[in-house]
Amino acid sequence: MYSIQLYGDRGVRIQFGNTIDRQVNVNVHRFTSLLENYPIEGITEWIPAYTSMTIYYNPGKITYLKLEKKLNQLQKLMSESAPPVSRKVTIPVCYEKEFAIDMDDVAEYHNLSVQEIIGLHTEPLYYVYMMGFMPGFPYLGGLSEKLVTPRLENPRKRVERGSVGIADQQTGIYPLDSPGGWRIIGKTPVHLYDAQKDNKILIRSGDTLQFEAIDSETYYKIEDAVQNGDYQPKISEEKEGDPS
Amino acid sequence: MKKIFEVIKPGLSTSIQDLGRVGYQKYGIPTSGAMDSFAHRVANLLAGNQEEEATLEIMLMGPQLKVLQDTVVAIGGADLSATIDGKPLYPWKSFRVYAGQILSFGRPVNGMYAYLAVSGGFFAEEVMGSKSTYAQANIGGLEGRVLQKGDILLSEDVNLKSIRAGRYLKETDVPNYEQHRPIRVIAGPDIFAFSDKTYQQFYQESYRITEQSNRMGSRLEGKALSHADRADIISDAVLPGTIQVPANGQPIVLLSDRQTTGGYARIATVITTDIPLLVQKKIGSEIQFLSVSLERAQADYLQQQRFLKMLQTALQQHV
Repeated sequence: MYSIQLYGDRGVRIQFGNTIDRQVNVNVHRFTSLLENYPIEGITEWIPAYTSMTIYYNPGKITYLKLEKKLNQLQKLMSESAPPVSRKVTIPVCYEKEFAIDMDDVAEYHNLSVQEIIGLHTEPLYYVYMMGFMPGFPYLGGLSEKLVTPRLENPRKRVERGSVGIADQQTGIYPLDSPGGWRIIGKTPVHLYDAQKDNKILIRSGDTLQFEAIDSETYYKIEDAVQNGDYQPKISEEKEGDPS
Repeated sequence: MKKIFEVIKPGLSTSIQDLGRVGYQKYGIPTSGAMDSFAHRVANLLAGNQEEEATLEIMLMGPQLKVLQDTVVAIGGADLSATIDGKPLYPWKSFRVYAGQILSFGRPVNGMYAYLAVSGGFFAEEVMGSKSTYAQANIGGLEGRVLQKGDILLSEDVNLKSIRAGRYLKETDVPNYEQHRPIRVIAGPDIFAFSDKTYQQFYQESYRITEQSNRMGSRLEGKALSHADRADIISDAVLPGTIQVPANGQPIVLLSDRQTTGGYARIATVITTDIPLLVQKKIGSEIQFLSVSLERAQADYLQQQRFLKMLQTALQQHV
């Protein structure tokens, strides 16, 4: 699917599908690569999402009709373009009690042991469909059906940065201290977002992500390294074939 | 760089803003930036700056500032009864102010957001290409937050001799925030999430701006808008002016500090030139929406860009 529509007086939205589907989302990221490789004058930025790409442009530099034509030309290149390079990011998470306020409740809800929960949460290679909600926040796909847990009825006023939680079919990491209703089962010392650093955002749309269980001693070691600026996040690049 | 103001009283919500962060929404970073970018630009031009310099965005109840060094200032946007040592400082005009004087804001007369520009521009660390404050994530501005008592504001050094005070915007060019004219929108992108009947209702009814409105968005209240099927969509990009309709049917117009993506059906998007008119409406105002074509919206946008260019040229010739 490829359909293009106007979005306000400075936006264009291209839709690649109607469902949350990895193949659809890979097409969104293919289109990102094309926009990067064949810059179109007048485009100021773009926001990829689950099924779509929204492009923000300056009508003083390019008309809607001309932009539509150029985007259609890019679309013709999609079938020949190489699949985007996917990076694998490993996120260390401490699932021990002091970092996992809701772990016992989640275990009880599913009638599983804490070890089983950790096993189910660290096993999948999650896929980053898109970024949004908060600076550096990845929308992850791939949570085990066995871990699907409803949100807290009363959201907390403050959830600490780095907290790892589950909300319905989603799992995610809080990039900042924020209010929230996710069930917290662990915490990472790694920063997803750091305004002070040059490379501010750790994760990008289209990446894959794996959680790695660490003990609290390792947690504090990594936390120190992050503080001192000598922590190297574990990222490997791999050319990914189309998942089919 | 020089110390230019000391904050005696911070006001309700005063923050450093420019035209916002461009290029980081793909990572989930909101753009932030001036709520009324037109007033922000004009204030800068009147103070002898480039339009993208940082200004002080002042919401409704303004601050009290002590002038630490002679400079030229200009205020654009809302009339919040600014005074210098008790004498009025009218909006849309530049003034010379002197060390030791007190710049105060008083009773709001019209509008919600005023922009105080200072010659040379306010100094702040650039984060991702912008000085704009995004308080939710402690980004930009002064330590990523709104002003507090005791803060010292800095400005870039500038040759004051080259800056003329007394420059002003012609009265016919001054926006009228009290006028009752509908806020213009372009329908969509989720046109199929609403029936024709709901769209008719959206254009006919009026909506009240509630007190839950802020830099993230204007929360409106009126006859609930129903969805053809459901309120939720697959999370997708939202733009400045995008009007979301959550399950309760009460629309929310997304503004400068909006998240980059949202999960509610989007009935329409406010056109660029009408966003300032919307944000300057006071809490409790009733607004109506009018559908316009892309051609109309872009013609007005380009006209406004030309106007700002002409203003800049005209002001430069009057050094």
